[in-house]
Amino acid sequence: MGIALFGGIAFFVVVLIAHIFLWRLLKPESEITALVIMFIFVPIVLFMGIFFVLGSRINWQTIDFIASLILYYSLSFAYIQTYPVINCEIPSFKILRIINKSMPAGASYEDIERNFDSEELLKSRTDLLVMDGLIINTQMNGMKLSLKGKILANIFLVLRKIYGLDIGEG
Amino acid sequence: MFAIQIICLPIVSLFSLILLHIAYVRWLIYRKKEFSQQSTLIRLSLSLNVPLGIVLLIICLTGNFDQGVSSFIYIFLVYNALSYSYFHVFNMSETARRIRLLLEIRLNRDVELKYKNYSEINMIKSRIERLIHMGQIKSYGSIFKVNSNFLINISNLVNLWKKILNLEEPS
Repeated sequence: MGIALFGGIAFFVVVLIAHIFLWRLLKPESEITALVIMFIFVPIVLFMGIFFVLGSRINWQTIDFIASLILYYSLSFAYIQTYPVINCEIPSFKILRIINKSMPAGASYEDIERNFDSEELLKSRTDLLVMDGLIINTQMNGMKLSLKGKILANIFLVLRKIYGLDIGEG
Repeated sequence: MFAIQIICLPIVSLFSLILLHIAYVRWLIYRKKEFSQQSTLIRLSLSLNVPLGIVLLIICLTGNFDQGVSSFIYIFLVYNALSYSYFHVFNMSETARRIRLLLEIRLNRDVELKYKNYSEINMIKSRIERLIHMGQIKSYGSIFKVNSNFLINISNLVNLWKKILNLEEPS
């Protein structure tokens, strides 16, 4: 299992370092798309190449290859899921920073609220939904869900129903 | 055979986590108990590391002890990375503003969004309540104070990673 462990971690670290260099040199416009290509699609080609070219020389059997792939992709999915937290301003973190800065006196609700505006909280989210093609901003009828938006909304509605929960607070 | 067991163990554990989580949340709702969605899932996913470790120990003791350390590390990395991804998907359904907006539009049959159910005030209030439920802040009348440094430390780590990636830092 050692070689599978080493292979999975080493590959993830190499891709992460490449990600840092790419972001520092020329941050891509569509960051999530770039992340998916870098972490999901390019590695599968590289992994296969390494396995077929070097596999027998380093005693890397098929089962080790599969185990390495699973480890690598587990770490990659976890990182891609974390990226929006890194990229955007998370309101909960901002609230915590505001309260922490006000210690030991603490902060009131008004102290917190004055640091937010509707552009930040709501409008920026609707703009992103339009940019992602999930909602359509029509002149006549306001905002409507696109087909992609309907599918995504239905998936989350079903997910919440499975847990017996109402829609999230947001 | 041993390697196949090691590969399957964290994946089976993930499915067990999902089923347990669904059952536990439904039970808490049935008992009308107040609970933090995030803390519940975090505690459940961390506690599943224990039976996972026990099962792995049993497998190793049946003749594969030389591969014990690397197998332990492998299984815990895969299981915890997968359960972390699951946490994110569930948390998105609970806290993501975009998902909430999508669902509000969906349930109002695609009519114009007037923010009637989802105002800015609700957004801040719901986050404050969530932070109180998670034990991160405490309310003293109308004043809120920090109760735990856990999420603040996470926030600091996120800012550090932002610096490394040369992304804009928060105000």
